[in-house]
Amino acid sequence: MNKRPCILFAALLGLQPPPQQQPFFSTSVEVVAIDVSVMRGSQPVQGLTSRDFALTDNGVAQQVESVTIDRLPLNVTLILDSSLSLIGDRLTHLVQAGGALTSSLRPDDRAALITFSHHVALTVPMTTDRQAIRSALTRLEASGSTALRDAVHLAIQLDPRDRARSLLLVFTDGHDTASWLTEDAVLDTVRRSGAVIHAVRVESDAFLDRLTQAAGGRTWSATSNRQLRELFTRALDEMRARYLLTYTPRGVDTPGWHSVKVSLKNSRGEITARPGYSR
Amino acid sequence: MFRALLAIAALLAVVCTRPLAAQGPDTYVSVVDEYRTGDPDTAIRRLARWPERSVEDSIRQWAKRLRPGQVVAAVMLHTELGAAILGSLPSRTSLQFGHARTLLDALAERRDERADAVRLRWFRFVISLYTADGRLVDAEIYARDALGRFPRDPILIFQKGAILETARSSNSPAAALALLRGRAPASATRQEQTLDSAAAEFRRALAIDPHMAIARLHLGWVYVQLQDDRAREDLTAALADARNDRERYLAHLFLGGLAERQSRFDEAAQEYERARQLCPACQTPYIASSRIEMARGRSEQARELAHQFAALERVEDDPWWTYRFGTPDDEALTWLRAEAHRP
Repeated sequence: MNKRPCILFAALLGLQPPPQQQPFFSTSVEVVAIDVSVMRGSQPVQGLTSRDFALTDNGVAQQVESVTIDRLPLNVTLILDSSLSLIGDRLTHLVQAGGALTSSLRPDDRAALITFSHHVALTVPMTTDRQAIRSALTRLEASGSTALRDAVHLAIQLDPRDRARSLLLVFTDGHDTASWLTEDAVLDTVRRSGAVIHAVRVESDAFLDRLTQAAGGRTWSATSNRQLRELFTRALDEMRARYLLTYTPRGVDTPGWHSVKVSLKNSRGEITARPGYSR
Repeated sequence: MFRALLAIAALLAVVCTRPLAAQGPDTYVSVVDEYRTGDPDTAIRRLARWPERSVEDSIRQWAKRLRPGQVVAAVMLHTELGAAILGSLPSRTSLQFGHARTLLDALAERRDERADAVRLRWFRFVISLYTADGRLVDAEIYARDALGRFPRDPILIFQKGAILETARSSNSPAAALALLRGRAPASATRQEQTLDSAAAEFRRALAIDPHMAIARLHLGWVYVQLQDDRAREDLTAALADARNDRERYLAHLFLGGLAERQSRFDEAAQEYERARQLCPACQTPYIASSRIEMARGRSEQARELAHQFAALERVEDDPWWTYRFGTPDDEALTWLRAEAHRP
């Protein structure tokens, strides 16, 4: 069983004011929210309640207070590679995949578009205007190198952190060649955020694996350009099928990294979630 | 310059496939003279239409008969054509550079006083062009050849180091070539060995020219990646020797990167801010500053910097990118062009 806990700070859910001027590795966490995927084979496990989950924070058992699924709207940030290697058929399919995902959003969902080559650009800020995203996608041009890590950092910083659940969906067909930020720096940023990061890739990339694992997300490998559309939609469906667990940490006041483990008490399933949070 | 080369590359890629009349030894000199005293772009376009056989025949016939000034012009005519088509027809670039080398040899055989100076700048330009285009094996081959002729030229030595440094981040076969030279301890990882080899070349260049700021910058940044204590000293020296804002910008950026890796976040923030002041529209200092604010626990400032960055106008010349990918040696090209057009 894969146990990778993940957290969202209560502040992100509007349960307390956002922390200001936080010292390094010290965040006032009152309520922790954990975005959890439970799968059996390729199918999400449905109908679970708080009684079905066991959760430990730094090894100390915690009481899961609430479990919600598919109620909160989504903030979906598309982080799309537009480097030169996409030129031609792949770019065409990427535009179609982005368009299909946009069409699958619900009325209260929002979406943003960040594109990156060596340049990183907030192409469309978070919006409910689906057409703005689709239009921007059709204007995408493939050129330049790949600054994946810088783009992910920017996407996390620009995420609205409101009551919606945040999904960052990364697509790249290569490896980072141009970022300033190191892998460790970006992973640290990811651990401090509550966003779930899914990735669709063409080539195997160790950083993407580390990224999605740290963010409690998943990575899908496209075997053909035509598959991009299916995988983008699957990533969105997976997000909708997730459970959002909340708990108030007890007996774990130490600052720093908190390892969180989630398991099932009364059911079988593969759990994917963030491995912990920084406090 | 590089953009100008790219701009005509597409056109040339098309016209290269359409041979026209009046090509070959009988008209070669007129094309060379067109480049030398007329419109260079027109001459390059004319030559681009020639089938390879006609070019070879012309070189064979004229290499030893052209006047020295014409030879230099011919060298640059073939070089500029090769550079222009590198992105679309790299195999034909090799042919054009081969012709240029034949002409350089012909110039040297005449004991022309300019021969060495032209050949040296030509090597510098070609090596920088291949490096910037990511063709590191080609760049390495030319660097080896060039250093065989000019073993104490600090710029060539620096270029060899830069090839290795670039290879480290691109998994290039050139990285494997570096390993064969085996300067690093056997326990080092492949990437560390490549960087060690790069650092050795930068040190060699600096031993000849101690105030070569760009080599000092590269050495300092390689040391940062190797977690070598000498990084700070070299980056500080690079800042003192910097000849322009691009070098000063990189020095501050790298000093920030060093401080960040050593968890001296306040100092890192100051260095990134200095870099941002030198290039207010550049992407990298915003990203770096935003990240460092996260590390300092100032998440709102990190977000504010990200929003400021998102509102920036797109710029194409962040020096971090040209550092990372390399850039064609504009100084060498300008010198060569001037020499080629000299009456």
